[in-house]
Amino acid sequence: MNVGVLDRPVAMSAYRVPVAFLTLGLVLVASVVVAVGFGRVPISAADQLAIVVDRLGGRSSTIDPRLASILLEIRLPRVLLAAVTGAALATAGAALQGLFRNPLADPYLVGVSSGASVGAVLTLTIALPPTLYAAGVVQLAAFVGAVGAVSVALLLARAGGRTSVPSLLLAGVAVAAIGGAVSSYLLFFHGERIFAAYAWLLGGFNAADWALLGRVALPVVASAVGLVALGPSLDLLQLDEDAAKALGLRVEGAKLATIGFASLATAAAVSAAGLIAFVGLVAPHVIRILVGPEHRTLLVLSAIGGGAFMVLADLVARIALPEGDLPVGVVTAAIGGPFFLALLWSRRGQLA
Amino acid sequence: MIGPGIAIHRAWVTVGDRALLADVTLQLRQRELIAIVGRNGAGKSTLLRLMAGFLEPSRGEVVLEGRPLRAIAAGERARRLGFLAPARLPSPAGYTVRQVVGWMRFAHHSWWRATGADDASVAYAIASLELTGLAERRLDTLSDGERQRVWLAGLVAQDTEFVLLDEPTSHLDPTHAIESLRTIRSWATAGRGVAIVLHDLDAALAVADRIVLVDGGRIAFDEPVARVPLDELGRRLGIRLAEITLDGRRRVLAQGLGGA
Repeated sequence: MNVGVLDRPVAMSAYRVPVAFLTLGLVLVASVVVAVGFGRVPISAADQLAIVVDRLGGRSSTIDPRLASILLEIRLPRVLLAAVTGAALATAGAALQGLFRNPLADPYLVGVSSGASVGAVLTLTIALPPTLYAAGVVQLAAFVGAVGAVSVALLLARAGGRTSVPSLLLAGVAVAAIGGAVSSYLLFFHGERIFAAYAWLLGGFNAADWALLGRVALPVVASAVGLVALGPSLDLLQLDEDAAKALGLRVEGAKLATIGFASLATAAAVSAAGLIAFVGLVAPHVIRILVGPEHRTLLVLSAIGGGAFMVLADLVARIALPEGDLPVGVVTAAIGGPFFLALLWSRRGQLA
Repeated sequence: MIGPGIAIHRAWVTVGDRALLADVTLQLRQRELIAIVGRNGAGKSTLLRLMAGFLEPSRGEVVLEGRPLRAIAAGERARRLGFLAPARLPSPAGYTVRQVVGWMRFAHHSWWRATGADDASVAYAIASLELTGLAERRLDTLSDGERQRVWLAGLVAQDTEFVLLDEPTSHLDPTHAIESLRTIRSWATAGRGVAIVLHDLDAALAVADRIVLVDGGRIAFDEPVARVPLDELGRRLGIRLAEITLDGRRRVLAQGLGGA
């Protein structure tokens, strides 16, 4: 073991946290500006600012109205949906890694992904009236499926007023397997719908508009606030449950609240944007390396960092395939995987 | 009938039809240190967990200064009663000594953040265990002995009237074990009520005011140190004990190793 590396202080400098806040905040703003500006019709940062200020002020814009409409109706909701989704997944991932005391935990661990898949695949394979699709039935079904799957896993893991964290993990795996079987069955008998379902599963922001953004942002912001408030409790849960209880933590309440908020945020994100891989797993690790493991800071910075990462990933997807819809999940995994490997390599033995 | 401090009155703890503790009565007052001894599986840790309020007695009751322990909210309980099983605690990666000692103030501040008073308590606790130089080090880079002192510092920061410790000296070399026991003894002298589960009988007799022997889920005896019946203690533990006097103090040795 390399003692020199292990000894390197992690949360030593008093400036570390504010510097990380500032840097990641600037990265997020910059990625939004670049992502909103990029496209077949480029929009400069100055024009973006003018359009948004004019709109907020209710004035008629001095800028080309076509530009304003591209910005306000297409680009901005899409980019903001990407930011909210990334923030939701990263925050939920950080919270569940803390709750399970497991660096491999991710937001999809307790059945959210398979539940959402069943809901989405079900509505995509059975032929429903087109008006229902336009009204967002796929997103609704995915959300209901995700929440339903977590509830089943939670029900199985609870006994005598206590939630066993290892049982929850196992129940989540079982629920995921059942959900996977149902999705596969549906797809097998509706081969003609496989492409649509697969594209949904890989994730993307093509469905973005202000209404969808609103429906996703509300539960995500509420859950993120809840999780950040649970930060100190998640720190205590790093000890054993007796010790946390002895320090005055209502352990069962903290566990249930963490699972509830993390699942709500994830379900909302997944219902709008599909199963985007890797962000919820990797983003919290990167933040932990930057500022240490204390959860209050970790959760806030994960939201900012995850949001920025997702905006950039969606931008890459749009650059790579300008005319088409490269699923953003492919990009997050393709960028996130090697990046994470490099990180592991440079920090051997330090992540867990 | 039920006096001050933490009092267990005729309590039973049963799991299924097995009694882990049977008809146990015990009292811990402030300004005293009791050592709970007994074989593995005798019920020592169960007894400590019962005193901490983690277990509900199936019969009998546990009270803190006259109030049933289960009726006291988690936060207030944590401000009055500390519990730690240091040997069973993990050392979560990446947290500093100061952060971990700060956790022990959880019940003293709002759910959101510590106050200046908490920071001062933490600094005092760290200094009192001579950890100031290690305050910004990561807990998972410390030695077992240093980490032990961190947990004791945490109990200082938690600042409770009562402290319950399960095997605070296991994993420690003799120097650190003696150091830890001195610290714990000083808490009792300063006014806290302390109960420790201990396997080292000689150490128990040296630091405690009373020895409580748990055998088969029952309290075999609860005696002031000077009146502890060594023959019964040895018989119950299944070892032969020898008594010697060293520097005018009564010492106890376990026999059985080394040929004789």
